[in-house]
Amino acid sequence: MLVECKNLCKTFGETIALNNINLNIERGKIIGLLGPNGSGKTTLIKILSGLLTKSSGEVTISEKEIGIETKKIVSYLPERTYLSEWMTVKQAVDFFKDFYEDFSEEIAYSMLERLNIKRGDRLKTMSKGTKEKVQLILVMSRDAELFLLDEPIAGVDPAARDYIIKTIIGNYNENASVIISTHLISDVENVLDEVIMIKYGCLVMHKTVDEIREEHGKSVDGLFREVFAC
Amino acid sequence: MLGKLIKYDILADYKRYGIVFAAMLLFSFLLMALDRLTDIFKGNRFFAIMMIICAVLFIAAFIVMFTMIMVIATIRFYKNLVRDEGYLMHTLPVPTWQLITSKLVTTYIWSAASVIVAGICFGIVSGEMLWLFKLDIGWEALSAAFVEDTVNGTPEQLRNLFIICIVTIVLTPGFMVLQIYMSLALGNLFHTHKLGMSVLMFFALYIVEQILSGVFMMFMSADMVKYMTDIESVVPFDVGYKYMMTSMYVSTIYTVVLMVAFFIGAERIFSKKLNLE
Repeated sequence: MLVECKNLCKTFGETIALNNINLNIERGKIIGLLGPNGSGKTTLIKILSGLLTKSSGEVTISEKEIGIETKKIVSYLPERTYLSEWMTVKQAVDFFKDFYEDFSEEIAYSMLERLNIKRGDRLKTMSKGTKEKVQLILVMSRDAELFLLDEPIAGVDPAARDYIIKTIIGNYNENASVIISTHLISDVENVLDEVIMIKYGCLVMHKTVDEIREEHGKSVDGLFREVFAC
Repeated sequence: MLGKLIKYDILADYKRYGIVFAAMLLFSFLLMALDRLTDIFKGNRFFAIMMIICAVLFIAAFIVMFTMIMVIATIRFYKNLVRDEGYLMHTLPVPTWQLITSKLVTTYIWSAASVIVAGICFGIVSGEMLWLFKLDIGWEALSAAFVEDTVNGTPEQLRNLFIICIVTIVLTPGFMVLQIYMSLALGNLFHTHKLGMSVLMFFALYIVEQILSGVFMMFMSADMVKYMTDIESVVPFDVGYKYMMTSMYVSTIYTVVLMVAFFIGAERIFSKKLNLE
């Protein structure tokens, strides 16, 4: 098992962000992490990436407690730009190469060249969309075991969404899994193997896309609208 | 990994420092040139006024250079570990203490570079580039003056005083940035107005450390206070020296203890209570 959560809880003061989450994620899957705003998706991703510490319960990645060892095998893309503005593309690539043993400079440059992004280009002068693409390329150029992508296609145009989804599919191997948190379900539905739905910090569903279609006779998008109807 | 972190911390700010260092050197050369011109054209008011302006700018650049170290160290820490860049930095496979140490070491590197640039500038302005190699002559003169002025003072006492002053100077930038880091870490614990709370925390820490420092000094120098409050009394040199050195040693230990406390505090908060929202 790649990811195991047992009775995972996270509270912020009085607020319960994650409530008794029990979850197992296998290798070789692309998983959609779905839920309305404030449901706990980002909190779960942050705990797995090591940005937040759990309040109680157990969580392991590749049978390791969250820490430096799991950070070596987890590639995380937040929902915001996290690269330093002073860097050039080359410096950003060097940064990833310096800190992640599983980072492939060749893969990163080949993807960057396809987008006509040059090594000397400064992040400061790039558009938000281009920065997000650079960030995604860096994250997906790692041979990580778990990719955590928080809203990777939010705020970009449809053409860029297609590119991002192609990049995700084309750059993970069968020993790795990808968790994609998104609201734009119809855009990613076709590439998902499994779906995890979270509501008010509780796990409401963890099924394969095929099971959803067979059992509910609906698309993932259709089921999401039903489950989370206001 | 620490070396790599330091490398990127230096790369992030070398241009800013480069501009200030270049400005410092430029002012030094200008000041030197104007000094020569004033000598050649004695009584020329234009050169005299220009020299005063340049001297004021030179002193201002000095102040800016040393103030900038703290300002840049604060901005760098805040942007890199508390704001959006923190999403990358805190997911790197490096322990949190290395993230903080890297920033601290970088501050020391830039402080050392600033001192070197200041030394070169002093050399340019004074027209004596090899002044550093002639410090022994100055030291001997200072030693003699110290022995003569203090009546009972010895060169060893002056040396001890000098060493403790150097230690204090070396600790100062580290103490200041660690207090800022601790304040930012404490501010990070709040859900709203994090920056405002960090500023508040800075002043709260400052007040607490001043109160503690005052209490320490009162206990350590109770006899000295007696001398100071009695207008009629003349403090013998040995007594004054003893209390001064004791208070400086206590102050140094106190500073080191606070530095360690701030470092551990910031490290624990960022390790266990990171709150980047």
